Amino acid sequence: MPARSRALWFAAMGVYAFLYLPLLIVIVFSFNDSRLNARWTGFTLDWYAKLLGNQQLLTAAWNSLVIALAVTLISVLVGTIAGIALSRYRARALSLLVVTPMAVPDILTGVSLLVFFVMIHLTLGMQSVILAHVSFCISFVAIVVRSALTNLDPHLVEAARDLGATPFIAFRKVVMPAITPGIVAGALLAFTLSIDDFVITFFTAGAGTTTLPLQVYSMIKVSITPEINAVSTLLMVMTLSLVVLASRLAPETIRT
Amino acid sequence: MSLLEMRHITRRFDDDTVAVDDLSLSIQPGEFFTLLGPSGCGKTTLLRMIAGFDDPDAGSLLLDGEELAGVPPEQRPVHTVFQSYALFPHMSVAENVAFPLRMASVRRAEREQRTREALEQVRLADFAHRRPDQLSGGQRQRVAVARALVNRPRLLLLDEPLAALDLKMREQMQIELISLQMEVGITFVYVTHDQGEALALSDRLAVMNNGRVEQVGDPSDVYEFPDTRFVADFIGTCNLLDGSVGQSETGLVYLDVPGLGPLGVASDASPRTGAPGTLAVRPEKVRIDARIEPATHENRLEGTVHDQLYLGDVTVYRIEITDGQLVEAMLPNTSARGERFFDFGDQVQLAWRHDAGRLLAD
Repeated sequence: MPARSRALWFAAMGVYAFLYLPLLIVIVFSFNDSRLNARWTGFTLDWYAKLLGNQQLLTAAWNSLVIALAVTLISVLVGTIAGIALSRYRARALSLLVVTPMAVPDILTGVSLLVFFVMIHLTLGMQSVILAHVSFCISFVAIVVRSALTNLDPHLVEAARDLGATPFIAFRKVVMPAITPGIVAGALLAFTLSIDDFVITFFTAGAGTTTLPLQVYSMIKVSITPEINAVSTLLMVMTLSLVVLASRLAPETIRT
Repeated sequence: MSLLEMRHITRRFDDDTVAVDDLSLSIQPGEFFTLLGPSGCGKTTLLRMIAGFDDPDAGSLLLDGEELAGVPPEQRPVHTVFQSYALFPHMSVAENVAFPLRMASVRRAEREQRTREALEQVRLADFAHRRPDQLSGGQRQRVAVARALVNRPRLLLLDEPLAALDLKMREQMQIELISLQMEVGITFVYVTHDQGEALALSDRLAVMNNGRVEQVGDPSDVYEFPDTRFVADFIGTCNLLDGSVGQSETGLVYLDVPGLGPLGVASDASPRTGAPGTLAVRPEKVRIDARIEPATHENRLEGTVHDQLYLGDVTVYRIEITDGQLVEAMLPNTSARGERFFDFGDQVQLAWRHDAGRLLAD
């Protein structure tokens, strides 16, 4: 191996280590038979068993799941329609307005949504968190759907019309199958963005509602226990399996 | 009664360019009709208006005597073969072909039978379960044709369907399209910018330029007797010799071409003396030899070989008559050894019959 490509290989390995080593440590120590995240002392499933007894954590996880599902559903519906509109009316201002929420700092989004919810007398809780997440997830879905539509041969819709399909049937038979991978990708994005959002949730959840990230944060204020490693590992397994599932459903866009 | 009647069709676009300009044409049942013209001449716009994807700003379109305005594309008995084929990528070949039948609510058993027949017609029965991206360009093109024909439209529109194919495949598909059209007996309206294709395929063709029809006729009519300078120049190659009308007699006009002298051309018109005119004569009509005996009813010129273009089957010689004035003559390469008959600077004589040329008024 020439010196230059060896150096390149080491650099690449360095990057991968930087990306994945912390995750790997979390997974490994979630099975460690010790309260300390310092030394490997033996294999155990105790921490996972303990999770099942932690009512607070289970409630938070359940809340996160319900919020993420609701957010995904609403974002996909509204975001898909927005994406179609964006591809049809190619005004720059329109797409800028849809993209901007992605670029606004979370802290700003969180504060402004809180102020807004208070102003309209919306009770803080699950519903306000869902609305808050939807407000930034729509953008991601819209962008992905628009790019799927940009790759669609415009003659396909005309061909369907030409061969006897009404505008609605042409959309259902030709446009929908073509943008479904984009919609699935958008749904996946919305779900993962929602389930691990901390900052915006922190501002909009109110006093009574806890999500998984909020609960983990309040737990590490005391100490980083292997229990947190176990929660994180479960979360990781769930999101990764969603990615794999989505790539099965949507071969063209997501699969690498 | 004609099948499709276009009356004074005009279509302007937002930026005020006129795509189709007061155009009238009628298309007869069962014919293979071609709209031929350079890109931007309005032929595709016209096709889209017939299909229903675009509406004329003025004029009317009548199919079987009934106005098409306001009828959406899905209700017109007109199908299109797109240049990009526009096959539905997520459907198999059979599903693509069955699509129009499905839209027309044809029952399953009949649908399957007609799909099979349509695929057999284009020799793709074995490919029924393939996806479009597993087919070659020529096969995709045939699927697009089968899909557009399966529902037996009154009119089939074809928008440069062979443009994406290589030369050999194109020639083969031309032959297939002609025999398919004869077999199904459906009227074809074919759009192309390729004059060779238009001549080979059509029963009749319309040459379009700047949104207007320059000439309509059968291929040999349009090729041999172009009405306008544009037609003579666009179809094939043509010597266009500008001059002014000199003396004329019955059926014959002499054109004074600067540098060439008076040249006779058969014409039924009797233009006034001094009017501008153009003599159009195709290179293959011009004989070339070292010496040509003078004959009546012929124009004869002398010059030197300016350059030559070897094309394999023929060689095109450009002969300089007097400084600058060039006349092209074409000679088939009858010798197998690739010998040229003439070389640069050779003194040669040219001749063509009066009735081989054409007098253009514009």
